[in-house]
Amino acid sequence: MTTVTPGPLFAYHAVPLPLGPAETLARLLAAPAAVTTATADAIGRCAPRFADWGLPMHVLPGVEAAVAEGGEPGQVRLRWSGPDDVTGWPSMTAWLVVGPRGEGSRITFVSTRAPSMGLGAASVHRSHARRLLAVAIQSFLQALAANLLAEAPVVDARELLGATR
Amino acid sequence: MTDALHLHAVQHVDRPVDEVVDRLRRDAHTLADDATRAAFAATGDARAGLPGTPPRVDTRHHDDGMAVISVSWNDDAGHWPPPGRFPFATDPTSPWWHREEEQTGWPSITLQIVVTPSATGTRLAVLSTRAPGVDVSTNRIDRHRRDRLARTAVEQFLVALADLLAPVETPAETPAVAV
Repeated sequence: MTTVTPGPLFAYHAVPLPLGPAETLARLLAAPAAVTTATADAIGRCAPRFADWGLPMHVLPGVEAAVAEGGEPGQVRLRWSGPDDVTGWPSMTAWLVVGPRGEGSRITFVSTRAPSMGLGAASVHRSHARRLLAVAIQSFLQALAANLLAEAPVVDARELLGATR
Repeated sequence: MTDALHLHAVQHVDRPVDEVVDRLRRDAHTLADDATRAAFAATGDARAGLPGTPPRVDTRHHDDGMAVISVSWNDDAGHWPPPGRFPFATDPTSPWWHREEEQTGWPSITLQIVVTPSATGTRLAVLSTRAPGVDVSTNRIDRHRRDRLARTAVEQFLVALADLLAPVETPAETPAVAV
């Protein structure tokens, strides 16, 4: 039995996969770079949109992914860091929860960051911040699912993200 | 977008995830009821001096969302004495409602059972919209004790559920052979 430190969690979005949960987790753990690559892909996809909204992404957010400990909410811990009120990309700690869905599986994005928490008082309106959060997380999960299902080896994007910070 | 969820407890089950999910989907109510009764028995010392019977257990299957099933411990057998004197008090959401939880200390809570694969089997986690430290009562049970009861109840439930899903196999006894 692992006793867990209480703290509110928020389940944001989920993406279904045609693989069984054990297979999905195995692929996720075998290629942790899929998480950083998916972040880079999602940022690439969102950046023009964010720029249209007045948030040019001059600084790329940092991303760290690690296998979670037993008492954590999910199997992989993800941390996005950076000046989110400048870039619009949310700064948050999240967990990826791989669970069953029918015959396949789903990856759910869970975070201790509340959806109603503003990105910042300076440049981003609160309702705008919610939209940014939703777009960022949905784009990330879509990219992650594509990476996990891709046959090609996953490219490590950590250097790319680290070099530009 | 979503309610705040609280992670109450995590427990390992030494069985493949597909098998655990299948059993939970097939025997949800029986498993939840048996695990609740086992947890109720295991918390006997913590409940010393408090009356009560095991709570009513309701289960629901989920296909959308993180949880495979949810288990509700209900205390809707509450009352407000004398009956009928305060008609508004028949509403369980009314603060005048005399909740069974205040009598027994057993938490009224919906547990979302999240099943995830792990490297060596399956991991069960309990999530709930009820925070672990929320008040059970303001009348009979002091804050420290009701916190402990709520935590112990959920933890014991999950331990019992894991045991039901992966019973410990007792090795067969070798019959004594007379020489």
